[in-house]
Amino acid sequence: MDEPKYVPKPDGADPVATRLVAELKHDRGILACKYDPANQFLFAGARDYFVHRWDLDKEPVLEPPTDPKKKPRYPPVPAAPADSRLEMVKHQSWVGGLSLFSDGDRLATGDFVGQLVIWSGRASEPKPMFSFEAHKGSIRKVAVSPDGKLVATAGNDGAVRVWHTDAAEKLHQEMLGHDCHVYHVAFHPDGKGLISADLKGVVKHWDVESGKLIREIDASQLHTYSVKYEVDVGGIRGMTFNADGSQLACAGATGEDKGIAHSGDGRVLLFDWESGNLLKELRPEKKEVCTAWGVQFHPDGFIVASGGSRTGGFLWFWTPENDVAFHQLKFRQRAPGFDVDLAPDNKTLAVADHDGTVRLYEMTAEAIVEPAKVDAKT
Amino acid sequence: MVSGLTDRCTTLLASVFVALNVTSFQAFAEEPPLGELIDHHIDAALVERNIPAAERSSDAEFLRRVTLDLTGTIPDSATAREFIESSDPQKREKLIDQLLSSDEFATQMAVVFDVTLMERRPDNYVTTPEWRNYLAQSFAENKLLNQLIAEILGADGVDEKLRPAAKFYLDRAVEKDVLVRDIGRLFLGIDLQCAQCHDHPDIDDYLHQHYHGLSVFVAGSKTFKQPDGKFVLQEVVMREVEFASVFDPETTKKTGPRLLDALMEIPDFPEGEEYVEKPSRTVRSVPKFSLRKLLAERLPQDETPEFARNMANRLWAMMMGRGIVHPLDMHHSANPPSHPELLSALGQNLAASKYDIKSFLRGVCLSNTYQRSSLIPNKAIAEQLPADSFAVANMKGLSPEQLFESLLVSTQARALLEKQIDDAIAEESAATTEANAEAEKSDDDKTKEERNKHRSAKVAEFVTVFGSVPGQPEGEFAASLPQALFLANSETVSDWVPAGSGNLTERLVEMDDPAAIAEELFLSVLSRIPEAEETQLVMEQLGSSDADRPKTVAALVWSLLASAEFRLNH
Amino acid sequence: MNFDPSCSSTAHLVSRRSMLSNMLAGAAGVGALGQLVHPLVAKEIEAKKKQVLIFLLNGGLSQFESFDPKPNTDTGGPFRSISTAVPGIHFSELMPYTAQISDKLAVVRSMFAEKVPGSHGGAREYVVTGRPPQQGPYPWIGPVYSKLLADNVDLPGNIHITPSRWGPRQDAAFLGPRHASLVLSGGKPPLNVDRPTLFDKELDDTRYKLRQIADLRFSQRRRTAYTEAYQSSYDQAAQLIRQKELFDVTKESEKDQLRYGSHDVGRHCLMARRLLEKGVTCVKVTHNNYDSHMENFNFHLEQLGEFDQPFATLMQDLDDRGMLDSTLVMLVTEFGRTPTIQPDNGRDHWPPNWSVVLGGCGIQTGGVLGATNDNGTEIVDRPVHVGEMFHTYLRAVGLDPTATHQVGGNKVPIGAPERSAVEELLS
Repeated sequence: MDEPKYVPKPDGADPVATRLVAELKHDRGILACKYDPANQFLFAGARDYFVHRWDLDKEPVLEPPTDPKKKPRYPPVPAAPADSRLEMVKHQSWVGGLSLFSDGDRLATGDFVGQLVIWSGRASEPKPMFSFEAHKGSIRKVAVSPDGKLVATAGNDGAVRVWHTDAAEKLHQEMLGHDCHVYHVAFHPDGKGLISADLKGVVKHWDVESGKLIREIDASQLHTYSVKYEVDVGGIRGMTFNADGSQLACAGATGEDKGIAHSGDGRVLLFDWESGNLLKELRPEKKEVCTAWGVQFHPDGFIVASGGSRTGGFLWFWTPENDVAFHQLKFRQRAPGFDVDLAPDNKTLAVADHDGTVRLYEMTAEAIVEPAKVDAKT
Repeated sequence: MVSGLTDRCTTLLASVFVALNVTSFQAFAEEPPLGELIDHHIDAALVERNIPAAERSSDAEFLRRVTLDLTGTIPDSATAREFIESSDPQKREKLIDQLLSSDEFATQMAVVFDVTLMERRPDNYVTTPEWRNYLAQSFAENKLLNQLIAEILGADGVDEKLRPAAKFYLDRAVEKDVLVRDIGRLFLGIDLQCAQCHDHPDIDDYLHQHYHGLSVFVAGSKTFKQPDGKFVLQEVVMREVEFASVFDPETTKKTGPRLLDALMEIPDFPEGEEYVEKPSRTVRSVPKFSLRKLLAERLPQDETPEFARNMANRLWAMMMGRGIVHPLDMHHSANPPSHPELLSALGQNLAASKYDIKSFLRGVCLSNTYQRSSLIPNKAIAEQLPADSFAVANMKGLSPEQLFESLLVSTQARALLEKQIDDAIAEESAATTEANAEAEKSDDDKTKEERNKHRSAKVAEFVTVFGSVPGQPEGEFAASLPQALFLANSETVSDWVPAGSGNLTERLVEMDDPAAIAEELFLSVLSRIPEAEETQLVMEQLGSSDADRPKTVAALVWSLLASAEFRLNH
Repeated sequence: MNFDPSCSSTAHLVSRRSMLSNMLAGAAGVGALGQLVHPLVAKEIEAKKKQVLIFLLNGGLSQFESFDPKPNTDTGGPFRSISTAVPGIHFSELMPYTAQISDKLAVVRSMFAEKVPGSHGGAREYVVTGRPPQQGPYPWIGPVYSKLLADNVDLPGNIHITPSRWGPRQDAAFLGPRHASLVLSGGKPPLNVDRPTLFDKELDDTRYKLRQIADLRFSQRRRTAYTEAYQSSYDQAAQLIRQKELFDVTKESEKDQLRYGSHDVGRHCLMARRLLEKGVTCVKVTHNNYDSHMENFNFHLEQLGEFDQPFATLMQDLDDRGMLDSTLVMLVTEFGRTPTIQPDNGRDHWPPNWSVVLGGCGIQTGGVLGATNDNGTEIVDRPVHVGEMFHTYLRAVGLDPTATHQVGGNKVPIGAPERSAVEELLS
């Protein structure tokens, strides 16, 4: 097999050059992160009861190494200390579901005790527009429809629910059929289809309008039933469509039964949407005991995922043509990145890290933002 | 019998007198044979305590007992018949010699020493077959016991030929505290565990410094993973350890290597010159002077009399069902031996024979004490004959391995077992299409290995149900519900009972004469001729109808297999 | 004689004398217990009607996700705490059914053990023997009950209902295999309980009869200790085979089977009720998969989601049947889990503090003993050592943990002699 390779597009992102440029600090593990479409704010859910918002303009960029021959210092020194973090108060548990409306004004968040909150997120003091109990037990993920009129929630009660976003607790459809915890939910870019995915690797394709099940896609490679322990291990942790909706990526871990303290090996399954066929089983450069948690399609045509385990954390980059990552970046901290989001500039990645930090990485050789520029603003 | 004893005592005392006056080794040659020495001490104590002794065992009883003790199984029916019918006055002595020189003796001793030294710990670095093979070879060539123990205590696992000997250390993960305790218990008969933190609270003889003195020998040793992935032992230089009592933590003391009270001198190398290979992450550390080698040289020797005493006591217990010191690892003044002089005499005898196990066991087997019946003498009651008097043969439970072998012999199911193994192998190879994966090994080796694996799995079932807790010595006989269920209903056992493949039941069914059936049944299972009443009972059972004969015979066979007489070595 | 508090192996105790156990031995030998019975002995005999139900949550139950929740703290995890039947006592929301019967429980939030071996086996042994495993093996609590409460009972005294793939363990140590747990692996009947096809019912009786005739003849002029024990093991076996339906949980009403749930631990709890009702002295139920180094919250949600309801149902049923007065219930686990949430959303092993729950016979219920600090990183009130709990388990059913076992002529204290019962827990 050819060595996996990726040639950056002119003015495009260069994944091989990916480097840490900023650290948004907090003291609890970060579970989810999303850029605001205007590229001003970064929102995150963490192992506490808040939604966190950082003002990216106010956050310092890390000093790049002055002499390229010299070994970079770690951690890099921020150009100027700042913490623009703001706590949005309403939730009653950890916030793991987080999705932004395309209008950029609102966001929907869901917590581990089933509460869904719709916020007006860009306000100087963001307030909940409304909130209600959407599930008995945890909400794992939330997804906002492309037109912003609907929000879908998936939870431990096995249900997928689609709500109108113009009022509290206005149920559009309830989709039942999963027989275990539902881990993920996503709208198809056409807005007509909705998919939900569970612990056992079952992906269900629903018709948004009627709430009817259309078909199932088999991602059960991301699930293991441990015979020895009589328990299910794994599940679909990350899930997303590419921009035109022709491909679906599901992240998780695969592997043989090694019991409950072993995640398996990190994997991203790439499906053809129309046929539902598995196109590629994307894997790290070498076998890693870990889970792939977050996955994104880049408009330049590559796929990026974050993941890891207590033995190490990673960003992996693939082309759809080759099932081995053409590049991977190992974190300094030994912990997974639980989520990854792509900035509106398509050059920056935000990673939600276990150690209570959102880290921003630039996929360019040259800095987009000079540290001096930030200095001037603060 | 009593008058005979007096006569022998006189001669015996005379020869002891000679022995006392002549200190050279030659004197032992003039000592009475070991058997007589044993009887002298045991009988004297019986007279003194006014305990009646049991009669001499019957030929059948003796044959079964000595065959089990020395070869780990019961005799087959032909052997039993021949022995019982033989009128050769020397037949017992001849039998003992024949058993001691058999292959089965080496195998049985390998099992006994494995179970004694490893106490059914799980295999980690050296497999049980490798280890038992090494032990069996040692016993087959009658390796002297002190040499065997020296090999085990000095092993580092590097030399391929002696690698199995390193199991004692390696499969205890070279854990210092475990090793100190087990070296004390198993080689010296002394459990020092509670002297670990302070002078032993109960037992004055066990001193804190004994524990720590012994620990110096192994404190510098640990495992090393070779580049080939194999684990071996390495050693860093250690000269002494510091210790303090938990009752007086302020006062620290030091000791160098010490075998109980004997403090050892060790050579002093200038700093920086102590090593052949200095400690590093990549190379096995080897000091110029190894304390483990010192332990191997000095422990199993005359200068450490506790060694011979302990080994003699353990071999005695293996034959007699109980130690002269009991429990076997509790040699200390608060737990005196039942026959102190005999114990020293046995130790000295073992040392004088240069630790020749066969000669020692031969002596024990020839003694009247060993050859006594397990039947309480007429008019006596059991309470009059305590176990530590050896007035009557102490009964022993069959070990899991003895039980397995004896069931096979008695049911004559060897062919059936072989067939079961064949079937299992055929089933497996049908399942795995890549049968040629291990092309390097010859087919014969592979088949043999595979057959052994299947056989071991069967034995392992018995060990699980009948064996001791890993890390614990095999205890006294104990019966349990799962054991009874296993013998009554398990496939393993019940497969061998119904008529088939030329097994015992089949052969009995094919016989016509009910009396002959009874005789063959009893000879096969209990290694003896049935009593008249027993023959009568068999005939009554068979009498009713011919149609059910296979079932009736199977029930009869099972009833004897499941009897206490079969389950015990009596 | 001085004891080192941390060292109480059998070797220490060789010369120790106990009036009580001598008297007991005498009493048992005679069989008749007239008015001469010592009051202490009488108490022991009364204790013989007692039963015990043990739950072992295997792997290490997280105290945070069960009985000592710390919501909205850095260590607390995502789940809320809920109020329970006892005002002021809160459990994790993962135990809603158990919360409703908290008045039948005594919660100890300050369990600890020191120098616990890293292995689950070692830590478990510490909890169920009350002694550091390095000093062992000592008999587990089940075999101890079997020995002290059920020595002369025909039914097995100590039955262990386990998930499948859990073979028999030799947990009786020096008490001998007679008291080792009879294992119902996967809730199925014990191994080898079915007759081989060769022996139909009639022939089966014949073979046992013939066996007994052989034993009678053999034991006529021999020491009888071994032969009696051997005969008794076959009597037990024959009895068990006759009572096979004891292990058939489908004999319970359909309604009850529904109430307990169709998953394994539900069936196992119903089986436990059945065995206790039929008079088995000590029943243990093991539930697996609490060893959540990875995905602690998911696994506790799943495992407690299974366990909570049948556990509470069984407690309620025992109470409704008036059995709790004479049945001690304990819910134990080998250690707690770390306050720190690990990178894989897991919690690791944590012996410095964890929770244990008692109920039923001899226990003061409806309260909490001991406390940890705000985020559960240390004990701030009434630390309770595992060795103290072992004494408490025995005292609760009227047994004397300071008495001794007879081991081949030696006497070994039943509970670690340097520990004593937790009086606050005893009624």
